[in-house]
Amino acid sequence: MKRLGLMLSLIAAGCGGPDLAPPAADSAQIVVALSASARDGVARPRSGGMDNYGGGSEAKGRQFSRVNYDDLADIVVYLEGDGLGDAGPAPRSLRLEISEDGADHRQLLLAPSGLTSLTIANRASGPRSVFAMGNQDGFDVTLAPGEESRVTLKVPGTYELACDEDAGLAVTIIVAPTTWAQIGEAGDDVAFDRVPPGPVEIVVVAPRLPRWSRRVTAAAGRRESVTAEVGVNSMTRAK
Amino acid sequence: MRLLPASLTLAAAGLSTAAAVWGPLPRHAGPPPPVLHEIAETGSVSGRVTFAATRPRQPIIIYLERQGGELDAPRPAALVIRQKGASFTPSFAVLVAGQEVVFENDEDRDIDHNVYTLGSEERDFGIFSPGKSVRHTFSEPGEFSLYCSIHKLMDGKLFVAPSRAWSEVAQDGTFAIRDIPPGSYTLKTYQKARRFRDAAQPVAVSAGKESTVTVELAR
Repeated sequence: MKRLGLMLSLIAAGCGGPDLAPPAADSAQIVVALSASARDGVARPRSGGMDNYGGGSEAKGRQFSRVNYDDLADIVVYLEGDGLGDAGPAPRSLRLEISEDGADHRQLLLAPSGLTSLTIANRASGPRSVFAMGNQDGFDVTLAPGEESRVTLKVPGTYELACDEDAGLAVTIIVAPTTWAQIGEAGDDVAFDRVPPGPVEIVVVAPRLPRWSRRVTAAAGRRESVTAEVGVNSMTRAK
Repeated sequence: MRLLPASLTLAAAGLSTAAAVWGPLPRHAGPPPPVLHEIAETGSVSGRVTFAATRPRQPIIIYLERQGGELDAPRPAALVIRQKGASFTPSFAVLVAGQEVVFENDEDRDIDHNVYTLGSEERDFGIFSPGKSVRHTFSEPGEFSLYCSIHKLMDGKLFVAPSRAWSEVAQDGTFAIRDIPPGSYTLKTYQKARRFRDAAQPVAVSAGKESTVTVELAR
């Protein structure tokens, strides 16, 4: 299946890093280690990240590309809880470029209440109708080649972005319930600093994978560290 | 994936009137079985969907939810979803609640696949080597995304309708659902690529009649 190419530029402010100063006396830190792993029992590919297929010539098709769990990107991490406020590090602007050079499943993170402005640019050779619709919010833009449009989504939730010209477009937009949200990659420690004390739900959503969550209590002057298991190994298995 | 036409169902049940049988099919042709679960003349629902913008190219489904309980009807035969070429085939299908799916690895090379679903039911169906398959009955209505945890471009989607009372909307916006027992229903929409708010509106089905409705899909 042909897929539209997507290039994503992220302009994010205030992302926390793993080298944190000690937590302040009046707030908490939360550090989420993103531990991604392949399903139990799956052998590594023989070579090149693909399964060989197609006969003696060992021809390879793009459709046989395998998930590299050491290199998973676009993993959304957000905090949910009363009293968090809107001082979190979620991006305030994003840019999504649609082209024709092929891409994997992408996942975008937006802050709630329209705080993130998403610019969609059409870099394909023909017009593109791009839309996303949830229960209470959505957008629908048709772009000529070279044209771009700025959209916002106010209501938290998960939106599947679709393109009328290509059913293979695979982009999920997550509007986090709070501004305490960041994008990370497998192996990252995603850190939130100056988190208001109180009960917090940590949610991790990786593209194509089940969400992971953990409830913690953010305590003033303390760092709460958790490991999020990203993958399918915790799913209910059919008998 | 659809039921047998009503005429075939009637023939099997040995009935001579314009009626459909809702309940288990008899095991053999011949005299009518002593108990039929429900016999009723049926009606139909047809109409047209109007769109606030260009009609999306991806599938749109119209389905009915029965007020007071879903239809007691035979389920369609199992749907086979193949995996050759690291692609789910079909990549999109409409099922009926209670229908079985067979996930079959039909690769002709030594390529394993995994199948798991996200959505209304989240479940990992295991790893299959070529020639292996697994069966699963989807009991709950809703949308399910299919993925393989091994191959990153291998995905699909299932929509499980509450009953066999569903129809795909044609390119010209028309639809028709036939052979529905009389009663009160809610007509709903499902869009594989959601471009509009989904519609939900009441519709009454009367025996021997066709209810005509217009469904507006808007943002």
